[in-house]
Amino acid sequence: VALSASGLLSPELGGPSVFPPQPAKAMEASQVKKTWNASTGASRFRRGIYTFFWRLTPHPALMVFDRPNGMVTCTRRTRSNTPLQALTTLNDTAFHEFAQGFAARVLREAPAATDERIRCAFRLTLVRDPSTKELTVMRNLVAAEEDAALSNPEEAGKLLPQGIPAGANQTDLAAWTSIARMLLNTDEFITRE
Amino acid sequence: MNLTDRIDLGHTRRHFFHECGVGLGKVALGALMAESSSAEVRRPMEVKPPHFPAKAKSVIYLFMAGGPSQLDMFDYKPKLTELDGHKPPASLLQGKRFAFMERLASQQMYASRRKFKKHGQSGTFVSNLLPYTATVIDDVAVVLSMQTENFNHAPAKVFAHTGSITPSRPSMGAWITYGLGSESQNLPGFVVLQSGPRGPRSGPLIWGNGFLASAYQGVPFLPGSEPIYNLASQPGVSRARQGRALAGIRALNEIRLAEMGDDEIATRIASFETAFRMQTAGPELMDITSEKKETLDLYGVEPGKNTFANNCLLARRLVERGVRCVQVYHTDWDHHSRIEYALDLLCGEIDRPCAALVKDLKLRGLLDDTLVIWGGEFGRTPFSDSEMGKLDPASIGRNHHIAAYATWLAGGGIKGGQTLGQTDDIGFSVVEDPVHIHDLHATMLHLLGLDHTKLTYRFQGRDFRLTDVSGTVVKKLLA
Repeated sequence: VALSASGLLSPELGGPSVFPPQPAKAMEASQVKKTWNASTGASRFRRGIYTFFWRLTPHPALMVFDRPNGMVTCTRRTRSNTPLQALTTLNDTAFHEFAQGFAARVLREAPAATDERIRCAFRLTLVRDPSTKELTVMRNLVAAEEDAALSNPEEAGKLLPQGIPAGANQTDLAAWTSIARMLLNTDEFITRE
Repeated sequence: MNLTDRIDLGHTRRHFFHECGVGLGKVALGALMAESSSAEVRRPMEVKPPHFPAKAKSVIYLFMAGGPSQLDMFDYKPKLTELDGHKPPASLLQGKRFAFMERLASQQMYASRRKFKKHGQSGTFVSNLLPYTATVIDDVAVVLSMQTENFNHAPAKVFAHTGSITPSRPSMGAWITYGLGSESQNLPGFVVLQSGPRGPRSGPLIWGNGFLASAYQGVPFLPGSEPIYNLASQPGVSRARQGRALAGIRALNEIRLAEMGDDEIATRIASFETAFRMQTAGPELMDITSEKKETLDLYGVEPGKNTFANNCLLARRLVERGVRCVQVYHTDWDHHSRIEYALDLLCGEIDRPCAALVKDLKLRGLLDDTLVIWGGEFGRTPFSDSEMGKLDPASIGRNHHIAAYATWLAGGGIKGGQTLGQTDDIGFSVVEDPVHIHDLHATMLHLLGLDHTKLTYRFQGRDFRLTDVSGTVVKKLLA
């Protein structure tokens, strides 16, 4: 879902498995050393079903999010809600790239006014408009992130990928990458009821 | 009521489908409600009361992957020295199954080259391979009569961890945290530490959650300051920025919680805050340089390296912080060849830290409620083996053996200073007090206050247990 909201999702169907980024040490659990060279370009952003699967060293994000056991039939998916999942969606490289992509998409697609951007971001993630209360909270969060990006441009710069899209400035992009990390980590976004 | 009756009563087709629809809807709703109200899924690591008062609060399992040779460490067999070099009697091997059957014909009786001595007040036999372990032997119960069911590494390991040779069942750490939760608020409840030249065969299958919720799977800690995947923030995300993100996520989640009243949202808020705390607690845990020099020396720790000694110290630090279950793996015990050289090396790596762990836990008053277990997936035969086909002193080794091998236990309600079980004159078969893996699991759960027959989970239509349909608590091991 985060991938889809980010606007980075590659819609390609079929073909060989791909290698989205995973933590550097994830291949060290098995006795035979193997490598995981993260895909670049569109292959980096395919649906999770295309992720290459090593049975002894599965992609950590799949493990943390209850991937069904391949040895037995799966009659019902388990539900869980754990700190390790939070660490994944907060800090994983793949999710960070989704947040960067999402920020760029909001700045690209919404008119250049904070409220419009907030509405756009809500529609892209939660498929609804923000309530008055949420709008107030969001305005404050955006203002705080803009201040932070202005007062420490060096740190803000590290937050961004290479190549800033035309018409956006670093402050906006850094602030919205931070805001994207929040929206993409809300319970309403992660959970499908 | 059959359909004809319904028609008689004047029901239309529309009514019928309407009623069915409501009925099916109710069934579906019931299933949803049952799922969302199952407490262990919502707050998986919440501390749960044991079935009866527990002796042990935590478990540290020092797992010697590959199968250490009990005959060179604990099971003293002077008779085997007399028979050294003889062919084993054919009657002994008749109908038995071993790994590498093709090498069986060349095997000879092979006595231990190590010196055995009685140690401690208990007079427990320990060989000169384990001088440090010998110093804590009065706190240790050595079991010489362990038995398992499969003679190959991967299935034997899966069996030793899950009670089944078929990979897919929950590991013991998963069962324990499923049963008891964990007292640690800032670290996972079930942690896996690894040292040695390679990961253990079967990898994550032996600390997996099987059909239990993924919250119960063992979390492999990586060496260095970032022990958990994704523990460190991305570049540009300072502690302050992460803090603001957490506050923002919380504010949005709280608005939603107030609207929906869904407990799951509250759990989500808690999960994120725990994750944020883990980001500090993780590196703090891994920083062993904060320990006193005497402690580092006791274990023989080398800061910055990934050694068994470092992991034993980390195991103590984890238990100290309320972590329920710690699996410490040390690999490369599969000594088909060059066993004398390999045992010197491996015992040199594990002996001092094992003893240090028992001493250190005792010193801190933690040994009383921490169960320490040492052992592998099986042991080794009293016969010679060699992958090179030569039986000269330098290349000789021992084959896998499942009918009799050794494990030791200490602390957590174990009666130390005893040797349980006896093998025959050559250490091939158990002749007294056999302890099967299922019995070891039952005993471990018993010390944790769990009845192994009651710790169940319904999956695919039947209740599953760690001990399946077997297992007896070994009363003689209890203090």
